[in-house]
Amino acid sequence: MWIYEKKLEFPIKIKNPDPRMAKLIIAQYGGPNGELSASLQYLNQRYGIPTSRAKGILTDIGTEELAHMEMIATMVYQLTEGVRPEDWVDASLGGLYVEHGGIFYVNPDGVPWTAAYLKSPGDPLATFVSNMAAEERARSTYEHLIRLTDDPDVKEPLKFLREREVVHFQRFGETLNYLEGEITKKKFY
Amino acid sequence: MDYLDKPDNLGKANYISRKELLDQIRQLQFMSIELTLFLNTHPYDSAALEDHNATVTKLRRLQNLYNKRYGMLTPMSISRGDSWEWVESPWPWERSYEED
Repeated sequence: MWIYEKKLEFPIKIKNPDPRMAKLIIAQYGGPNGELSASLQYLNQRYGIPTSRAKGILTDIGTEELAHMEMIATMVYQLTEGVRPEDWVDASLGGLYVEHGGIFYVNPDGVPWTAAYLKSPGDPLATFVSNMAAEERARSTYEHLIRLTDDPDVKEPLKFLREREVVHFQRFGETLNYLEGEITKKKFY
Repeated sequence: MDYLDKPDNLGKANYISRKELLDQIRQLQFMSIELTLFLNTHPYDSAALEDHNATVTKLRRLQNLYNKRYGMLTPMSISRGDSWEWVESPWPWERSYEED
């Protein structure tokens, strides 16, 4: 089970609204390499993976990604809080304002999130190679976002999230090595 | 530190602001997340095991202190007073949340 904690993993307080940046950051909410995708991908993979260590890393990284999704939602929320409806339209966010009154699971081009983004191949090596690639894609998205803002209130949480992708990549790599070792021990799964 | 050693003492000498306490909880929790991920792939690392248990011990004390002084961080905590405290404080996505 999960228990909600009324707190973000990293503090966010954005003083200046910037709907243009909100539109870009939503990539990490409802985009293919976003936090929703990462979380649901890892949590689902748990049911087709051998070894307790692999189940542990998928559970705990999948859970942390949910907390990251909340950070991204918070950034989009604060970047658009209190802006006029015309400002949503001027930032090409008119669709979100009209249909959702705020945040929804779409990418910056308005494409709705789909489970078809997820990779859950049911093979231990394919799973972890795929997850390492997912972390690298998320890292690169964060690096692009960091280049697109000068606001430290926005930059700092993005840098934190970028750093987490690097750590997750590392832990997935270690899990991959471990699984390869288990397989060469002639324990076939 | 004083407030760590005497978590039940609500005297002025032990004052810690909500935001400061929250940030300390967040730091310990971050250490615990990091150690959890590390231990999942290094389950026999005795230094990390020790760090993890020490971090969680400290974290629990600060979480209890927060609950006593400032309210609920999870719905599974004590609600002080006559009304349900859970819905009385700001939510994390609201700007006012990070204020003291």
